[in-house]
Amino acid sequence: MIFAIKPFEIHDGDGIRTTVFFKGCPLRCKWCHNPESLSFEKEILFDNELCTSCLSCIGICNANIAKDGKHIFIKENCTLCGKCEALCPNNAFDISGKEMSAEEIADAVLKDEIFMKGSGGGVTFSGGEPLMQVDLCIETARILKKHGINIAVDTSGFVKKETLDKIIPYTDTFLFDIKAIDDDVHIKCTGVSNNQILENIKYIDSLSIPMEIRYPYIPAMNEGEAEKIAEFVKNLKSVKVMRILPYHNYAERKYNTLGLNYPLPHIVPPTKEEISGVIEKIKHSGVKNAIPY
Amino acid sequence: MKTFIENRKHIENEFENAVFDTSTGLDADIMYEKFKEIQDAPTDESRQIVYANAYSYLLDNVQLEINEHTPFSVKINLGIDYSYFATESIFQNALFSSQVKKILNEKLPEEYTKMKKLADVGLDWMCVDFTHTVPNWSYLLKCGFSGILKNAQASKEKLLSSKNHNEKQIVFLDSVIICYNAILRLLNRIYIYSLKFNVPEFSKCIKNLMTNPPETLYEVMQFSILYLYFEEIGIERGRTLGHIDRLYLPYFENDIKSGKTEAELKELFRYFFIHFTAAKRYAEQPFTMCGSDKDGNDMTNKLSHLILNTYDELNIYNPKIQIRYHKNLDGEILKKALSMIRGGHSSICIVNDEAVFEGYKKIGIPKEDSQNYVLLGCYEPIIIGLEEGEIAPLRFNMVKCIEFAINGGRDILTDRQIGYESKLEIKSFDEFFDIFLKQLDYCTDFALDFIEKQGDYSTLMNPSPIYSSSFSECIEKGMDVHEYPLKYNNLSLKHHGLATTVDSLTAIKKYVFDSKEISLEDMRKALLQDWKGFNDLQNKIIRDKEKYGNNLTTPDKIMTDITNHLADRYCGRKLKRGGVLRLGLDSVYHCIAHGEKTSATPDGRNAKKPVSKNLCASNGMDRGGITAYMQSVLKIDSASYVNGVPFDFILHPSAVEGEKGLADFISLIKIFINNGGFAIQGNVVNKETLMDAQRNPEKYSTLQVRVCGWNEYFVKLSKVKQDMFIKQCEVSG
Repeated sequence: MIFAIKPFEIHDGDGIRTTVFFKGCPLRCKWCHNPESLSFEKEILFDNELCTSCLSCIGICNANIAKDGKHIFIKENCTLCGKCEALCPNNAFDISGKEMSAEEIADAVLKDEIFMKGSGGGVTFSGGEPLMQVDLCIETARILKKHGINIAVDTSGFVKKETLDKIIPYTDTFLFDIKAIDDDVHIKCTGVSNNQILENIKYIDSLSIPMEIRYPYIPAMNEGEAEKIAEFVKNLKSVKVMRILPYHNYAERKYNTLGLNYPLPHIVPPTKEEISGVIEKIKHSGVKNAIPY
Repeated sequence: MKTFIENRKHIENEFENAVFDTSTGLDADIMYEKFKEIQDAPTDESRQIVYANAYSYLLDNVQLEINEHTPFSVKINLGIDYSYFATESIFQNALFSSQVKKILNEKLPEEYTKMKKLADVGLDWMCVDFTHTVPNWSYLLKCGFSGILKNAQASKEKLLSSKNHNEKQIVFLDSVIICYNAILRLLNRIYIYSLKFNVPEFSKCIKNLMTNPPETLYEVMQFSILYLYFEEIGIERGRTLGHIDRLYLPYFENDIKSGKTEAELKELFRYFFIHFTAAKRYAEQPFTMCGSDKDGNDMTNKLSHLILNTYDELNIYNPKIQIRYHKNLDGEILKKALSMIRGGHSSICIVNDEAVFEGYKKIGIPKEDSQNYVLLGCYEPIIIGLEEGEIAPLRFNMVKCIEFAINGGRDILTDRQIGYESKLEIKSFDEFFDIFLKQLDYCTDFALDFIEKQGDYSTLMNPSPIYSSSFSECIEKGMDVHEYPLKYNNLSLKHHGLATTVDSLTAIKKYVFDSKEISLEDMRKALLQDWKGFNDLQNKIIRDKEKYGNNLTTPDKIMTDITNHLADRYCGRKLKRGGVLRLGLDSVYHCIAHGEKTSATPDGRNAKKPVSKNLCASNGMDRGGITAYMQSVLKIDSASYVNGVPFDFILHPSAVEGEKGLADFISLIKIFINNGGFAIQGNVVNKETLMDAQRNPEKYSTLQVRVCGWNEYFVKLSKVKQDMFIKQCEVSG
């Protein structure tokens, strides 16, 4: 299940890349900016702010009703038939999640072959957690490798070693998040332990596969982890770069469209100066190749 | 003299509400009346002599002003509203416009009436294009003003002493001599007047230019500014300053040898550039840089870097920069240029040498000639000194031919028969497409025939002694440039509205003939009613992702079927004048004016809304992102469109941020060009900024956007134009 394929992505590895977003994730990071990536199921996003109550969608199903001239969307009644998405003149509906075969994904990715190859870029499997659909990843990777496409896997690392082993032969670079070293902090932030994640990172490092480490810097959540993460990273040999991803709250509206509460309503995004300070701290701890996102 | 920074505020607005010294000449309105008398008076003189005498009268009486804050001190009162068309001068209004109408009514009455009818319904926009010219700068700089006069006099004597001359040649040379004598008298007047001010360097420069060709970089710049004045007074508009990093290099190096410092010469460039910013020319003054020589070597030199750096520091939008890209181009130039675009200095166009050479090859011009091309206006190449390209006499709105194909050749908004009377019962998409192409050919053929015939009367409409005498051929042969004495006397056609046309055809294929959701008769009705009563279908068609600009098979195939058809039929077509036809696909702002006269279209667009611009996807429809849009454009055989196939982009700042973003931006542009892309220009801006600027213009007085071949301040654009940019941003973010 895929929820997006985005061309011309510059933030997910080297060069110009196409990022394939796999739907579904076992983690529940409180700052997740793609809440539609969490569920493994197809789902509907309804943006009330875009709806003008034109009432074009009334009568097509039981989920869209009118009351006092106003449109009301009842998510529980939605069967994901997609009629409202096709009809709405204001793009207020978006059905997230599409079953795609490896061939279909590869075809979509290969449309930008000239840009990937010409820029030293490639494809990035991201999500969600792409390795939760490792077989689809492998099948897609197999096709893309025949075309000489560079493959990066952007993973939480929260997968079994055997799963990792399956994708390793096709992977040129791994992008790993480290959210926290302190396991209590990690569990508080993501709902899961980091034991497996850190083990997997060390395992990839032992195989000398290039890695990009990413530290999502979230004030009041994991800001105290910077130096600990740096201590961990500096002992790794295969880390090409460590990026600091500053928290942002752009996703709040997306949570609303899914009918979810935004988990971090009161956190203020860090300033550029604050991020520069964090980078300095990380560099000081021995990770010289730390850079902003 | 104070520093540039101190002087800048006294220069950059010098043409707005300009005040002239009334003791130096006559008011513009007095001269306007005099010109009207000249235009209306019966005379036995040839038009060239009438013109030259009027020109002399203007130069002898024009008011002057001196600005002590700039080395380019003189301003000449042409009665121009500098905030818009610099060509709206007294000369234009009193002499030129009425003469054009008079000649066309006299010489081509039927054709002219029909052409006006086509223009009335928004099918085309035609003009006598004297406003896109490029003088032979090398020849001009070699000769100087006095040298041109001497050459004209010598040529006249030579012709008179030969038995093979005709009266027309002598009349032409006499007109040049009259005009250049007037120029030298005006220079003398400027010189004498300047002595009253504290501008000794300027006075010295003018005195030298009266008798000698320019010798220093300062004199070259002053000469260029004055020449553009002199050409523009006579209606033509010299656009490009030429390939200035090549053209000015010897003077730059000589100045350095003579003891000038690089810093002093850089300061000179600051004043030179700000002069053009201050003049606020509509569509601006371009110059070309870099490029490859005949052996493929990079022509970038130290002046190229100095020019780009100086320009960047000034934070201006005019003059505009056109960089010739090729595979050996100095990487620092491309990096700097793209970094400037990313920073909001989007008045840069990057054009692909190889694509231009291929385009010229296709119309029979070899690389040994084409390698000296410059971009003339927005992005139209011209081989300086060898080619007259008449780059924009006709801009053709293809979208109307959809209307005609669907409605039996009748214009929907006015119900006038404009196209040929085609049948209304159409059974298949292939048949419909065929009728569309026939309507396109029918209308283009007529317009082209008119433009060609019109060319026969160019000299009668507007003699060109100043522009013509920048070519040695014109002087030696005693011929106006519009009598076609140059090696290549070409003509250009621009078709536009590509995306609206393609999306409309795609919708007709899909909804009328494939799924049969609507009959052709009902589609006609929907367009006649501006979609009223068909809103659900309109909505569905608008939301349909199958649109040009997304690297999709069906629309892109329709697009290439159209562009290949036009190329096969018109590219390189031999003209009666001896040259060939050049094709282009850019629209400038005609997409708005033409849209206002175009009915609703099958792609869901409502009547009177703008049609698509340049090669852009319909507004907001390039949902596949910039790489998909690029690949759609790359399917066009750009070699068949040497008059310009520009790629416009809008990128969200986050897409190119940071060091990596810049590196990827460079890769993106290189890949596009290395795969045959013709030229690129664009904006790095987000929707929120533009919307905020629309609401709070006072906060964004310097926000520039790349419009077509030029930049404008966003807050000064009309709301329709602003909305077009905002809509375009919806895809990029």
